[in-house]
This record gives sequence, structure tokens and C-alpha cells, in this order.
Amino acid sequence: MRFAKQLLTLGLALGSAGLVSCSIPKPECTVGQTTTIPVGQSGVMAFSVRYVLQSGTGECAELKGDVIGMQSYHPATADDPQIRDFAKTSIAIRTQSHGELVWMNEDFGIVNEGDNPNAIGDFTAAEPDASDLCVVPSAEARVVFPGAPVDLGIPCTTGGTECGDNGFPTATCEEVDPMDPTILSCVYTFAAADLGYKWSNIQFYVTAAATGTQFTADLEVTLNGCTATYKAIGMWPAVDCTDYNLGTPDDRLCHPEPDPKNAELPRPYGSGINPDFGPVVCDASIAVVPVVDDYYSLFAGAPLSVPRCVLQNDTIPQLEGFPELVPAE
Amino acid sequence: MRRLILLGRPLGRSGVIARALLARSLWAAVPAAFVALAPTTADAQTATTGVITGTVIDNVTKKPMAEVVVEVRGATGEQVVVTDSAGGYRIPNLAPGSYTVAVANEGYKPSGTSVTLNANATIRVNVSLTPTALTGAVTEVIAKAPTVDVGSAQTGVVMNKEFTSRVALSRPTGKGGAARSFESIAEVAPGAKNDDYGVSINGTTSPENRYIVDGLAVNNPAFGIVGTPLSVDFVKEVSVIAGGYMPEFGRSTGGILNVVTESGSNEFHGGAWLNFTPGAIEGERKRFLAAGQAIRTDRNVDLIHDFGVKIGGPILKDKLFFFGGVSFNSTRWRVEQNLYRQKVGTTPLVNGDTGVPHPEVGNDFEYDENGDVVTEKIDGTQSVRPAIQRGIQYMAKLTFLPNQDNSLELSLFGAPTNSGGNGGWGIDPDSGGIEGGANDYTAAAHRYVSEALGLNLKWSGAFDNKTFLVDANLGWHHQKAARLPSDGSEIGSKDGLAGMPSVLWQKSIPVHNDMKQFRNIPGGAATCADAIVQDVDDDPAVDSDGDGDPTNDVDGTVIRDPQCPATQYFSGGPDFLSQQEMDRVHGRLTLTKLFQGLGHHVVKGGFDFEQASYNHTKAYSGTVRYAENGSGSAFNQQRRYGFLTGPDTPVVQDLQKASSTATSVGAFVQDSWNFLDKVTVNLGVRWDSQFMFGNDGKVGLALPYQFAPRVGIIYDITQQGRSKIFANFARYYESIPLNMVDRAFPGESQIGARHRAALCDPTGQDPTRDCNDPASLASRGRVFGTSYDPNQFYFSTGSAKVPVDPNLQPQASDEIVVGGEYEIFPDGRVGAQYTHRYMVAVIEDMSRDEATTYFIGNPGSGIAKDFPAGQRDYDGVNIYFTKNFSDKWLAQVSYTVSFLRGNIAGLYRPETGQLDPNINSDFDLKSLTVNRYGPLPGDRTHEIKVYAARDFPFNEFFAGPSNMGLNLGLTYTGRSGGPTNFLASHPIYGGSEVMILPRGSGDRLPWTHAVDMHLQYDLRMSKDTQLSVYMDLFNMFNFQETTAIDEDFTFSEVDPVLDGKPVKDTNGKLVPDCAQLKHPDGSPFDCETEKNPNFGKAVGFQSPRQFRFGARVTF
Repeated sequence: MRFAKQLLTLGLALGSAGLVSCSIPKPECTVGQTTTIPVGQSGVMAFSVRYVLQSGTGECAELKGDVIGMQSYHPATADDPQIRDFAKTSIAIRTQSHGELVWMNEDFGIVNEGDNPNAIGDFTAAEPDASDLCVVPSAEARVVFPGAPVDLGIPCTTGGTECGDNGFPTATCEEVDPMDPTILSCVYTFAAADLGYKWSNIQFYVTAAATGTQFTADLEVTLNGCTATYKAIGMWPAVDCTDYNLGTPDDRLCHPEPDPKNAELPRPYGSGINPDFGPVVCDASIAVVPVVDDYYSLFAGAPLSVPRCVLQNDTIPQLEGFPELVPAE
Repeated sequence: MRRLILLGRPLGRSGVIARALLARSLWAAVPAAFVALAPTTADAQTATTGVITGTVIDNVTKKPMAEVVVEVRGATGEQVVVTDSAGGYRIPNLAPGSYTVAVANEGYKPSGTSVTLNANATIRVNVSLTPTALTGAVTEVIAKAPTVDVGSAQTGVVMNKEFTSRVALSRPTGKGGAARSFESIAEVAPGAKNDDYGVSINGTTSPENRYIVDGLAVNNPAFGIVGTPLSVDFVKEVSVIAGGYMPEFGRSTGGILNVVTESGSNEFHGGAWLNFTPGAIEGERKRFLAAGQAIRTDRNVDLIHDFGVKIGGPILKDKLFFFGGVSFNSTRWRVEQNLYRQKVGTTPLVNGDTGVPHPEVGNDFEYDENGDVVTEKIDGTQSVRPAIQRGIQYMAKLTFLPNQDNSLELSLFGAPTNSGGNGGWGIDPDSGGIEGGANDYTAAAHRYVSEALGLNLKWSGAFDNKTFLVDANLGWHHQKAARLPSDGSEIGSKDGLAGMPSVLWQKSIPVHNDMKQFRNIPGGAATCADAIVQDVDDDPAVDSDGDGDPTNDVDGTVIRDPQCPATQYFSGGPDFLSQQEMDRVHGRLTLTKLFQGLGHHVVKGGFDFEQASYNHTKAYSGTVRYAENGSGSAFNQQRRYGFLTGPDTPVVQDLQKASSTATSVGAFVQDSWNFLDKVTVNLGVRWDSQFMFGNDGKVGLALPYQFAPRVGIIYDITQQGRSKIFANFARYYESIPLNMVDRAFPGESQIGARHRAALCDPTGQDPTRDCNDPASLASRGRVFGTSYDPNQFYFSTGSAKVPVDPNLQPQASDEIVVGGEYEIFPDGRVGAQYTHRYMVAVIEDMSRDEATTYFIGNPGSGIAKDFPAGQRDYDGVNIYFTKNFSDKWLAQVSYTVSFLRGNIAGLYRPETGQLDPNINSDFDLKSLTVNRYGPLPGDRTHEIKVYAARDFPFNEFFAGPSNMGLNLGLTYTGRSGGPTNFLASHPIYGGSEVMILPRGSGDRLPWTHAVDMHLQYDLRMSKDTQLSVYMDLFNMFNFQETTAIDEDFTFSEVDPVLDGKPVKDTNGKLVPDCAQLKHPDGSPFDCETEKNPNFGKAVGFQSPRQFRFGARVTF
């Protein structure tokens, strides 16, 4: 009986006084998880990631960052399919760019068998190393959005300026009804995005106070044939730091302390960012691939991407903390 | 951690019958033969034995006499010692009971006195011997020795048989009431009151106490509450130690309930008893009807009774004794449910958008003067089921005294119970709560099976002429508890109710569900009209949509709820099921050494260990609970054990098993120094350590450095043992119950998904809507806009082992006690004491990511320094007068004024009833910690307890027979009311979790009063045999004051108003200022439509007048 074994262990332990050396264990390797419930200021349960260009030119070299969701998983044990095997941990990485392209494919009825928006990789160990880092050596993902036309519903004439007059200078005047070739309408074509990621050397900082909520990685991005390499630096959670009264980014929205009575910028809740982190700034350039923002601009009236709080430096861990905040009275 | 909402398990206010106001006698009444003596240094007594000590002096010369023989005779034989050069003698390790101290010396008249000795006490019997040669004028002064315990700063009470037999105790409907458990009488102590899971002492919570029976800790290893609620019939003495105690007792931040069971003696003694409480003559119970529910449940006592026998005696005279007893108890309630419908009135319904009345559609419901809907009972819908709990209590003991220096004791005791099943409702043994409620029987009824047993071996030895003492204890405490389906099916099985998922129906938009969907209503829609959701055209003459046809306009919608609404209803299977097995092996060794050096020293040192284990199997019936969303368009898998192995790749677990263990080792050393016989200084330190191991066998938590100093000083102003003033400082550490390990290491992983209601029927009745078909799943990513979530259909929680702050500090509290006591006449004392307790550190689980992942730490320090610190501050002043039982009467008056402020109540959450020690939802999210500091639920500013009892032998009052008499005991208890709050819903944690205004901002509940009586007729049939017939009357005047109100101001999500202040409404009641309130999305709160109509209404009352009749034969 297991209890009897524990009794025996107790007896031996007491005898050898080995108990006093038992200490609180390190946390297991994990990542800042994604959930669908937002919180805090405008906290999104995902990483806000900054890309620093290392090499490459063209449209693939113009990416500045992204919102990236991750999850960690354990496989079942070999003996019992209903028990988790804690010795093995894998993660899935899904960028917002990829997630949105998948939905655009669905919206347009495009089916790609080969699409894989989740980059999967395994941790090399179950616990952080001596530097409190957990490493996933590699992971890959690829989604292809072939581009698609949309009927804007603006009647036009061939060679006319109706499309430009209505705010769509790049739209072309096309036949939109196969039954009636006389009906012409402005047609806007969304650009293609064949987007692939090759992640390598993904390192997560894992302690009891910050369980995998900062990471760095090497990233090779291929977009429509061109390739660029970046260094990625990510922080969890991804907080929207837009001052919606002025429409501008504001560092103060990244602060974890609430300031509900501040006349200029009232904040009833803190940002949700770990107060140990720093330096953290508001970066307005973090954005999904352009075609996604384009899609949102057309159908939702505004691009999807918003300024996000990010870690300012390029190596981890970044633990300077935040400047002291004295809440307004 | 989020609480598991157990349906059918009445938690907190919403279903539990209001806790009774119990009358307790405060002080130990001592029998007439007691010649009380001055206790001295808190020395050489142990948890289960006491000491008799004293000095023999010559009555004429007043000089101490050496080499005098002192004989101490008790039930188990006699011991003989000889006085030392200072005339002193000391006999330790005596079992509690009555003793005769006889002193004889050549040339002197022999002298003798009787003593009653309590456990953990030292009694001083000083004897004066008069020379036989003298005659005449020497008056023998038999001074009554004082009763002030000048040796210790301990606060609390000791209750023995003579006391518990004179006052009404242990209300039959309370937890442990049927068998009259030792915990149920502990409310006598000043500063003690009942809470949801037991007795709370000095503002702490019941799981924090330490419960000891014969030296064996009988706490529930997983939850900390009492594990073996042993009946007082088998108990010789219960001492409730509230504070100021020495390092010998540890691993508790509450009080110590120390129980000594009965033993055999040289004569055969025993008894038989029978008690019953007839529900028919109970006072009328005040009712409340929650607005908006169509089912009303009435619970009334049917019959509560118990009967038992016990006997003890010698096997070998003076050497070997036995004691044994068994009793049976039964609690039966009648649970009646009736359906009510909302009464349709005469006011026509209106278009919700324009307000235009539409009588052609129908009439609105009728409302009363408070704005509540008038309801009427539906005939033919009555259903009655019993709720029955049966239990057995047993005890067996062997005592062996090989010589006068050693004693060995082996005891076995247990208290199994069983309830529920067979078409009846269950009674939860942990809280005493009775099932029922607006749910299907299959979903809400459970069988509860519990077992508790203890096996204990104790050895007391004395060496070196009783100056070196050894006290050792080795015991095993075993418990089982199960919450099972009512049909007997097995947990984790696919058959029967265990294999049926539960479904929570909670649609509210635009109308609630109709009760006709769940219950058979006679007359159908004629009795319970369907809901009305009808588009209307306000004026058929006007063409409001401009299409040329005035008769096809839709100007708005008329909406009326079903006449019999089901606002929140559980159907299907029994939901959460569990099987628990808990063990504790407990060993203790204490050494005591007496020596002299600038006074008397009693030095004690000891070592003890505990190995506890908790095996828990849990499951949701049918592996899942489905919950309907607000609009009825979807069902979420709200609870499901399982894990993901990859994106949207679930593994469902039929059962989740976890095995947790904890090892605790402790040691202490203390000196009780009676400095120059003037002042007593108690000095000691205790070391404790606790290591907890999770299911993977690895260390989850290690707390090896728990040093608790205890310092006290006691000074007797009169220097005659008639007074004391004292001060004491103590640090206490908590022993963490294993439930935390069970839920945190490696974590309770759950998964969930969302089904479209059009494609999934969770009841399984519609074969075209199969919830197991992946096509019925809705994309949560699409619903919430989270394209970046690798899991688009599933979510998982608790997937990672909960990390622990590497610098975790153990949970501890400090206490300062200052007081004084003075004996104003023999057996009568007045006293006052001030207790100040505060938390040094709190261990709780917290989340920085709004409930996705948790970590364990100390709020306010370490990695959780950005969380508010855990606080619980108790200040109490207690003033009392106590008259020990003598001259046929006893009295006790006490008044306590206290303040309990903080942001954490203790090891359980009174607001919701959540019992998850150190991982309940108090500090879980920073957004939950707002407004949390204030008067805690247990705060009662004033408490008055008055007890009086008097014996009336017939031959004293009239020329009646001398072998008969009456005794009458009266009790008055009065308490000011507790604080109330304004609660709202939290976006993640749900209802009752947000405090709109600071804790305790609401009106206080009213004062509660109760008068109890105990009336007993005694007939002495022979020298040793007595028959008693008695009646306990609780709450004589049937006061049914409100003890709890509905604190849910709204079920909507509302942001807390930091440091907000309430305003008075039109009735003069404090309420939040609605104009200040808003939802998390910024939209304003609408008091008219969103306020809970039941807010502020009473949901709990004092227990009504109850009688217990009993008869007892003792021999």
C-alpha cells in the first residue's frame, strides 16, 4: 500500500535527517497560456511580440511584430491513456496573422489542405535550466491565402473614376453577375499572402513569479516567396495601450497599477502585466500582415492591429520593474 | 481557486438552515465534594493527565513536615508518596477524575480531602496536620482553597460531566447534534461561536482548530475540520483552549479542543440512555421564498433520536480495566416541495420598446407593495421526501497499570454515518446541510457515506521518584468520505446515474426556461401559461415602417416570463462525485524534568510527527456538466475532467485520481519557572516543519522553519492564590490540510468546449442532436474573436502544476493576551482579559492571468508583493464572573466586546461556503481583492452569555423523599448581528464574487437572543444507581430573528467602487448609490431592471424552539 511505503520513507528520512534539505521545487516548463477571456485594461491572453530585423529585404522584411497565442500540452502516458505524462511537454504557437488568414480562407470558402497555423515544438526538458530558461529548439507553420476579390457594390463604368471617387483607387471595374454582363461594379482584390514561419531556439524565462511569460526566438519569415530573418522578443499578456479619447498610444496604459481617479487617463484596473517586468513601452508598430488589416478596414471600418505594450530591450529576462506610480486622489 | 459549485450541496447562505443560536454553559461545574485547591505552575500535566501536588505542614508550628506519607486514592487504585525535605509532594500522570488525598503521621490526627482533577491541570492540596496530643481550642481551619489557576495564562474552559449534565447543550439539528459530538458543545467558551463547519474560536475558522482525542489528532487530514465527532457520552472531559497556551500544543491557528475519553475503574460503572427530539412540537419555522423561483422547499424536523449503552470496570483489580460503549443515532427531516406560479394580474402587458399597452396579448403579473411578484401554490404538485442520516458511535478501551509508575492505555473509537439514497435526500456530514432545492431529484440527491475511526496507544511513565516523566503516544486516525449517486451506481461508471451528465439550465434572454420542461404540472399550459414573446403593432391605423401597409408594422415586442419560471435548474445526473480516503499516523513523545533553582522549574521537551495521506477519486457524472448560456443558443461544457495533448485534441478522463501526502515533524522545549514562588514565568519555543508531496510523489511544498516562541508571565497580587494578572505572547503556525495538494499538485486539469444548442441536446433524448458529434461544436475562437488561440474549439484550465513561491512563508498568526482574575468569594471569580490576534503571513493561491494559471504564495510579499497582504485582526475584551458548582448552584456571566476586521476569514469562505483551505477564491485575482478589507463575516461586536443552574433536592424544599430531586438550568445568549455586504458578479468567477462597496458597508444584522432551559428529575434508586429524566428546551421563546440576508445586490457584472460609501434608500436601508455603478464595459448600471429583487431579504433565521427529551440510567 502506498501509504505504508510513505511511512517507511518517513522512518528512513527521519533517521537520515534528509527531510530538512527538501526545498520547494522549481516550476515546470510552460508558456503564458492563451484563453478566450480578456481582462484588465485590455489584456489579451497572448504574447505581444516585437520583431527585430536581422536580414532580408522586400515585403517580408517590413514586419514589426505580432500578437501570438501559445498553449502547452502533455501527452498521455504509454500505460494509461487517461493520465498525463509530465516528463514531456510540447507547445503550439499561433500568430494572429496566421489565425486571421485561416478565417479569411473560411470566409471566402477557400480550402487549403496543407494549411497549418499551429507551429508545434517540444521543450528539451521538463524543468528550467540553471538560468531559469526553457528551450524549444524548433517549430514551423504555414498558411496560404491565395488572394480574393470582393464586390464592393459600387456601380461603375469601364474607364470611369467611380471606384476612386468612393475611396477605393485600387479597385477595378468588373462584371460581377455571370448572368448579366452589363452589371459592372467596383471590385477590390485582396492581396495574396503565402506566409510561413520557421522558429528556432525559442527560449522562455520560467520562474514561480513569471511562468513562461517572456521569450526570445530566432524567426525566419517567408512571405510570398521572399525570406527575412528576425529576432523575436515577446511578453505576455498583450495589452492594447491606445488612449481611445485621443486615438494615440500611451505608455501609462502598460502600468500594472490602477489609477481610477486620474483626470487625464482614468484606469480602473491595472494592465495585468507582471509588475516585475520592465522596461515596458507602448509600440504602435505591432501589426498583423497588411492584407489582414486591409480586410478589417474594409469590413469592420478599422484595422485589426492596435498599439501593444512590449518589452523594450532585446534579451531576456527583463526585470527592471515599472516606474513608481502614485495614484491620483 | 474557483470553488466547485456542488448542486444539491447547500453551501453558505443560500440553502443551509440558519445556524442555531446555541446556549452553552461557560464554566466547568464541579461537584459538591470538590474542595478546590490552588493550582500552581503549569507543570507536569499533559494533554490527558493532571498532577496533584502540595505541602504538608504542622498546624501548630506552621512548619513543613518531611517524610510524611501521602496516599492518593482514585478509581484505578492508589499511589503513595512521601514528602520531601520542604514538606512537598507531587504525584503526576493522574487520569482526570475524583481522588482522595489522605495524610497520616504518627502523633498526628489523620487528615483527608477530596479532589477533582481535570486533564492538563495541576491541583495543589496543602494539608495541615494537628497533633493528637492537643485538645481544645485549636480550630481546624479547613480553608477552602482558591480556584484561581495561578500557573497558566491559558484562556478557555473545561467542561466535565457535572457541568454538561446541568445545562441544555448541543441543539439536535446542528452539525453533530444527533450524537451530541464534543465539538457541538464547544460554543460555551467565551469568544466561541458556531460557523458553517464547526466551532470558531476568537474570530478564527473551524478548520484551524486542532481536535485531539486521548492525545491523537482527529482533524480531517484533507480539510482540517473535525474528523471524528465523538459523542460526549463517551467523553470524560472536553477542554476548549482558546489561547495563551504553551508550545506543547502546536499546528493550529485556532483553538485546541482536547478530549479525554472515559476509562474503566475498580468498580463497574456504566449507563444506558435514550434521547429524542420530536419535530411535531418544534416551533413554527419562519420561511422565506426567493423571488423568481417556482419551487419552494420546506424542511422540517421529523424525528431525531439516539440511544446507547456503556460500561466499564476492572478485569484485574488495580491493574487492568476496560471500558466500552456503543450508541446509535438517527436524524430524519421531512423535505416537502411545492410548485408555485406567478399570479397574473389585471394590468395589461406593454410593448417593451414604446410602453404602449397591449391587453390583447395578455396581462402582466401581479406585484405586491414591495415590488415582488405575487405567487400562488399549485395544488397537486406536492412531493415529499425524507432526508435521513444514521450513525453509530463506538468506543473501547483497555487501561493497564503494571505498577504505580507506569500506565498503558489502548483505545479504539469511531463514528461512521450514512445518508441519502432510496428516494430520499442526503445530509452532508461536513456541514449538516440538507439537500433539496429547485432541481431534478437525480441531479441534486446524493448518498453520503462517511467513516471515521481512531486507534491509539498511550504510555505514561514516571522515574526518579516522579521527578522525571515520560509521556508517549502512537495512534492512527482513519477516515473515508464519499459523495455518490443516489441510485448506488459507482463513481466513474458509465451505468446508472454515474454515467449521466448533469445539465445546468439558466437561460434568461429574452425569458427564462419554463418549469413545464422539467416537471409534470397538472393542467399543463392551463395552469402554467407559456412565456409570451410577441411582436406587436402599436397602431394598426398608422403605417410606421413606410411600406404602404399599416397592418404589418412591428413596433416592438411584448415579453412576459413563463408563469412558472425555472431561473436556474439542474437536471440529469448527480454532477460532482467523490470518494476520499484519509489517514494519519501520529506519534508523540514528551519528557518532563522537575528541578529547583531560584524557585521551581518544570522543564518539558518533546518531539512529535505526523504522516498524513489523502487519496481522492473524483468525477463528474457522465464525465461532464453542460451549462446553458444566457440566450439558450449554446451549451458549454462547464466542468469536465480531462486534458489536451495538442491543439483541439482532447482526452476526457472518466475519473481523476490524486494521491497526496504530508509529513510533519515538530519539537518543543519549555520551562515553567515559579520564580521564588512569587511570579511564574512560562518560556518556551516550538519548532514545526511540514512537507507536502503531490501525486507524482515529488515535493510540492516544503516549510521546514516554523519557530514559534511562547512567553508568559503570571503574578498573584494576593500571594495566596486568590488572584492573578498575566500577559502572554504566542505565535501559532497552521498545519496545511491536504486538499491544497490534491487540487494543486499536479493540478486539477479540466477541458471544455461549446456546443450549438441546435445541434446538441445535453439530455441525450434527441438522437438528431448528438453532443458527441464534433459538428455540434461552435468555434470559440470565432465567438470571442481570438484567432491566435491554438485551440479554436477547446479550452483547458489547471493544465500546469501550480508553481510555488520559493520563499514561501508558512501561515502564522500572533497573539497577545493580557488579563487578570480575582476570587471575590470561595468558588466565585471575576476576571477580564484582552486578546489581540493578527496574521503574520497567509498562504493562498493567486492568479495574475485572470484564472488561467495560479501560483501559491503569500499575498503581499515575495512574488505576490503586488497583491494586498492577507489580514485578519481580532481584538476582544472579555469580562466575566464565574461561580463553580458548589452549594448546589453554579453561575456564569460573560460579556465580550470584539472587533474582527480583515480581508480573509480563514480556511473557508463564509460568503459562499467554499471549503478549500489555503486555495479558496479570496485572493485569486487582483480584480477580486478590491474592497475586501472590512468587518469579516464572523464579527459580532457584543456577545452576552449567562448561565445559571440550581439543584433542588426534594427533602430540602418540602418533606420529600431524600433520594429525589430536580435540577434546573437556564441560559441566555445574546449577540449583536454580523456585517452585510453588497455583492455583484465577476466576469470570470461568476456570482457573489465582487464587493461593490467595501466589505461590511451594509446594515448590520439585528441582535439575536435565545433562552434555553434544562429541567431534570433525578431518582436515586440505590447507592450507585440513578435514573434521570430530563428535557432540554432550546430557544424557549421561539425567537426567529434574521441571521442572514441575500447579499447579491445584482447578478450582473459590476465594477467595484473603490472606497465607496452607501446611501440610504426610501426605507432607510443602506444601499450602493446606483448612479455610481457601471458594468466592466463602461455602460451604466440600471437599478430598475438589474437589481436582484430578492436583495436584502432574509434567507436565514434562528432555529426555532426545539425540545429534546431524554432518560438515562447510570450505575
